[in-house]
This record gives sequence, C-alpha cells and structure tokens, in this order.
Amino acid sequence: MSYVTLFYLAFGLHGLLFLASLRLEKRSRFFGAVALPVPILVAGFCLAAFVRASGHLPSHFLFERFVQLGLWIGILLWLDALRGRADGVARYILFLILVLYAVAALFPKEITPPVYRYALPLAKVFFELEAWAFALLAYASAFYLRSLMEGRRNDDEARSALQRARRYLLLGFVLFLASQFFGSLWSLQGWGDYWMWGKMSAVGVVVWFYLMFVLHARYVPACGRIFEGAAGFGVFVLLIAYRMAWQP
Amino acid sequence: MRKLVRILGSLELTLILMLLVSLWFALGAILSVSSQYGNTVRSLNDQLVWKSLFELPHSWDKIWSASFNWVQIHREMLAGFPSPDRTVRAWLWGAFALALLLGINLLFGIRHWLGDLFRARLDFRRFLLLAMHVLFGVVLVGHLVSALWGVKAVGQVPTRARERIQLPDSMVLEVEEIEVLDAKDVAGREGERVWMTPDRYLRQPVRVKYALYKEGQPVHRGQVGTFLPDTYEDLRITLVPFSFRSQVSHDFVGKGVGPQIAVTRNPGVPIMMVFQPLWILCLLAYVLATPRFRAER
Repeated sequence: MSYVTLFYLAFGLHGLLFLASLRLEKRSRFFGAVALPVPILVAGFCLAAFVRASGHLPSHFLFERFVQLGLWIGILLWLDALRGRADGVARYILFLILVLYAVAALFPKEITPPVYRYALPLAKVFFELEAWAFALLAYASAFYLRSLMEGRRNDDEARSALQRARRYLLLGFVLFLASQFFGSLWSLQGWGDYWMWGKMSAVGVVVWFYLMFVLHARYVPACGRIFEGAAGFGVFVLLIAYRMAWQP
Repeated sequence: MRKLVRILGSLELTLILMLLVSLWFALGAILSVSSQYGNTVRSLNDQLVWKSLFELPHSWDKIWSASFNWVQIHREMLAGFPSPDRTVRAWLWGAFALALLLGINLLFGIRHWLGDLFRARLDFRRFLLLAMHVLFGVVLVGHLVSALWGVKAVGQVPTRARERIQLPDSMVLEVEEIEVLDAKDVAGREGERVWMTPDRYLRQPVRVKYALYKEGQPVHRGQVGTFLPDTYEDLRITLVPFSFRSQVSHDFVGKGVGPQIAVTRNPGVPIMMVFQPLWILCLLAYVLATPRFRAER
C-alpha cells in the first residue's frame, strides 16, 4: 500500500474518531485510550512508508512533516488518555490533527529524497527536536482552544486548561530553542556561520518571539484570559505558516 | 524620569516589542522568498551586518519571474516598495532598532530582580527567571558581536580557478583547483552520499583546493567540499553550494546566484555556543521546577 493511500486512510480514521469523540468522549473515560491506537497505527505505517522510501525521517516537505507531526501529537494524546488526563480535550486535539492533515492534503504528496544534508547528525537532531517541539506546541494550542471555547461555561476547566497549555508551551519552547541551537551548529558547518539571512532564519525568529509573546501575555493583567487563549491558539496557525515557508 | 524608566522596563512594552519583532521578521521572510528582493536579502550574508546597514555588497534589480509560484502575491504586496537595496537596508535598520529597544527593555525590566539578588532576597524561582532573562540578553549581545566584529568575505559567483578573495590583514585566498567529482566516487561518504537537494536540483559534488597568502607569501593550503569546511588559525573556509544559498526557486540559477567560497571568523560563535545552551538549560530547569513553585504558593 502506498504512503498516499495510508495518509488518506489515517486522515479518514482521525475524522471518524473526531466525530465519535463529540458524543463519546465525555461519557467514557476510556474512549481515547481504546479508540486512539487505530488511527495512530495507520499514521505510524504511513511514516514507516516514508522512511522506507526516503531512507530517513521526514525533513523538508510540508506533507511528510505534517503526517509525522499528527502522529507525534496523537501519541501524546494517547499517553494522556492512558493516564486519564485527556478528558474533554481529546476532541480539540483531534480537530487540530485533522486541520494538519487537511493542509497536508493540499500540498504535493512528496517526500524528501535521501539528500546528503540529512545525513549529517546535526541536521537529524535539528529536524527531530523541531518535530517534538511542534508536537508539544500544537498540543498546547489545543488546550488554549479549549479554554477559549469552554471558558464562559466552566471557569475552573478553562483555568486548568490554561495552566496545562502554558506548561506544554514552555516545554515546546525549550525543545524549539534546542532545535534552533542544533540548527545553528548545522549552519556553521555547511554555510560558515551560525546565522544566515534567509527565510529559514527569519521564520525561526518569528516563532521564537511569538512564543515569548504568548508566554509573557499572562503576566499583563490587561490581556486577560481570552486574549491569552487566542494568542496561544495563534501558535498553531504560526506552525502551519512556518512549515509552508520551509516547503522547497 | 521615573515614569520613563517604568515605561521602558514595563511588561506591556515587552509584549509590544515581541509582537513587533515577530511581524518584522515575518516581513523579512516574505522579502527573502520574493523573487524581487530575495537575492538582495541573501547578499546580507556576504559581509558583516554593520556594513550592510550602510551599503549592500550587491543589489539586484527587481526580478519578475513567471515561474515562481508566489510571484503574484509578491507583485501585489511589494510592487509599491522602493528598490531592493533601500528596502532591505531599511528592514535591517528596523530589526536593529527593535533589538536595541528590546535590550533596553530587558535591562530596565530586570532591575528589581538584580536589586533583590544583591540584597540576597531572591528565591529560587525568581533567581531562575533572572538567570534566563540575563542569558537571553547575553545571546542578544552575541548577535550584536557577530554583526560588528570578525571577518566575512566571499568569493563571488561563479567560483573559478585562480579567483582571489581579499581578506583583512593583507591576506588573500586563491582558488587553485576545482575538482568535479563523480557521485559514484563519493558514495557512502558522510555528507556526500547523494547529490540531489530536497527540491530535486541535481548537485555535482566538487572539491575546491585553495591557498591562503599573507603579504604575498603562501601560509596555508587546503581543500573544501560540501559540509567539509577547513580552518586556518581562527578563519573558517566553507564551500557554500548554490542550492544551499538560494532557498528559493531554482529560477535564480541564471540570475546571478551560484556557489561561493565563504571565509568567516565570527567572534560571536563562542558566546552563542556557551550561553545559548545555558539559557535552554535554565528554561528547562524552570519548566521542571514549575509544579514545585505552584505548590509553594
């Protein structure tokens, strides 16, 4: 089965799970833990097909990166579901995975050929840290979205969602900075300097400062919870734009 | 005066500046992928940043490319902009001004924590906060050092045998030989396995042999290849192939962008190598200690 077929299968299964989550998520604690492995497994097969075809994990193309990102987010959700900590948020996370897959479906279904750039350990570390950073940041965005959607109905839930969102955002920020650091070492080796003026560096700075903006927003009383929630959800939109800029 | 200090150190100003930096670099990203301004943005890499504030090494005319898929958007967005040279320099000045304001804001913003530190009234949480903000400041200074000092010289495109690059201190780099390799010869070698870039542009692996002269006398001979840089004392010699430099459509291949040899010495590198990981570790410590802080409160 080709990776494109597997991609659409994973997309469809995530869609079905999202629809089911609207009804079942709050009724059964074990819904996520039991139902999630199926689409995750298919997405995992899709990623395995990428690796088989290219010889390495996804690197440059939006399509392959978003499939990988969706898988990592799915795994995070599943781990949370197993610990009984995904109640009420699974639908938002599944929704974000669906958005990622929908964007990926609009782009060429290409995977990076086995390029020499990726053979360097520094490049590998950069890409993999970035993937996990983005998974955590997208995960945080789901909590921000939840705080926005449910803030008026349930104050406690919104507050707890914001608290978890900040934690994931901070952890994602740390990983993102680490990926940028390894990226600068990679740049030093291949380009002669740790900073190169170009689109990659520019979008890196955009994400970097926007994350700092969101992290600082909570300390300004004038911003309020809705503003913080909206700004936090903006991180997810920015991640999509970041990957679009990377598309060769 | 006190009011001014309060405004300069306020978190509100921090938020505004951070958002402005994000927007400013988003504009920079748009400029660098545009077929009209991209080459000029990339020419910032050919010399030290402070020099680029006043004059760019190369400025290309606006190029209208039909094959570049974003061109319609850029044509609309950037049609009213001035020449690439003026636009990119204005953008660079803006980035510099924002960095300066951010530095001032940081200094005034952490003054209370610094005061508490010297009065030994800082708890662990605020100490971590102070440390991560100071380290961010050091990283900012590292970028400033990189922009102002060091060496940045490039052999302009196309790199040819006998081409000479003038360096400071009466030093000259001369390209002695360019050896085009067969991809089969280098198969399996780390960094040179396959000769195709992600956008499927075929790359012919090359090795460039060069000599460094000081006051007319040869002081060093070496060889560089893709991801195989060479060093002499504190100078770094790197072969930067075309496909790495372009980052945009290969439509540029016929428009003046090609491989180059870069000779660099960046005194900001040791600062970044030490303080950026420290900053990251500090943030990580804060993340890990957050539940403890919450419990303490």
